[in-house]
Amino acid sequence: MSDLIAKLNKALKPKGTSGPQGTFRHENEAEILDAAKKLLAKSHFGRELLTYADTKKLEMHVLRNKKDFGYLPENSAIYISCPAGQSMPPARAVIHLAGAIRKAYQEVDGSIPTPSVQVGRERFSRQLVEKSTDSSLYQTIVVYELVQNTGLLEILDEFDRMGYRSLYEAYALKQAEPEGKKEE
Amino acid sequence: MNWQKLERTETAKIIQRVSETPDGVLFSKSTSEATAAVLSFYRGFNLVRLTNYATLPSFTLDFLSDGSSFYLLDGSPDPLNRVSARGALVLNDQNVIDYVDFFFSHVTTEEGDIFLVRDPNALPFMSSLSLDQQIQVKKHHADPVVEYDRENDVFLVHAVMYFAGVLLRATLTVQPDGQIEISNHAMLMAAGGVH
Repeated sequence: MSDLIAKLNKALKPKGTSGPQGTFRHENEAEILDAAKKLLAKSHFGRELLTYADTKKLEMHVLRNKKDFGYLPENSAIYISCPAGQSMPPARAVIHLAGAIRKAYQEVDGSIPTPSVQVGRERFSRQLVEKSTDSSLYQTIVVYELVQNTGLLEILDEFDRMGYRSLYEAYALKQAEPEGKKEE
Repeated sequence: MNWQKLERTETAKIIQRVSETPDGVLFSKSTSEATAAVLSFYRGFNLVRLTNYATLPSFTLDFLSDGSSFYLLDGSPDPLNRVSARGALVLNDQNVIDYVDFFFSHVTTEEGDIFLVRDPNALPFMSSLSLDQQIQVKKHHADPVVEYDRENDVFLVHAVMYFAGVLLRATLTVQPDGQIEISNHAMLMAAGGVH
């Protein structure tokens, strides 16, 4: 408990890592993205996402922030975020990167575009849920494959922190079923 | 938070300043909106929120601003420290709890967010706790109490906090420059269970 309070007090002290203006980018952007991409490449679906990002020349950036971001069509860029002065474990970054690339795919490919409010409330809500479900599914598959391929259990803790543990468990259960039943 | 939508011209001015950064493209004049909120503990600085509605989920960044300088709230204590260094922080026994709450809302740690428990029912993670844990959080709740330590010129806030899955009672020492230190802690509920 005292260790936790010591860590907390250290985190509350100013670090001098951020400037008032100039850039919103994280000071460790290159390292965070490099580690996340290397890890993503260890998953089959992750490699597909990376290939897609390369093909479409999607920029990738890490913002100094505590909120999650996504895809911005104006500059074909993917944004993930990490608070200033903190490192972002690859196990966390890879989940956000996978989700953001998939969100880019939804828009660029036009498979699940951002709905307009003019389509009506019901369809608008349905499309929003569909977008969210689709990117969460890809994140779940990447997490599952990384656990299977690398034994990286830390990524499960990160997924749990995001509130998605049940998605992983449901997907893992489905994968454990015999082939015939899986396709039902 | 009492957000006020800013006039179009004011919004355009803010976006112009922010667009001077390499990621200025995050906010375009046609799809973005600026709102502002007055904070009782800052003199001359407001909380400014820029939102780009062209994307889903929308892009939002928060700044502390006096109208000419924009300090991005980046999850670290640094922007708050910089604004304080400009002489903008004015703490008193009426606003120090609001300041601590604001600080914890915008500063995060490697272990996760810190919550000052002012109203257990308003905690964003409450529904994710087990029923037993929810009962414990409510049972241990006490409103934060402020004390001014004249000798050391600091405010002492005695409060219940939630951090890294742990519910604790602690004293938060708030310096005139806004720096916060936690002491006299007592665990009320351990991570994942009841203490």
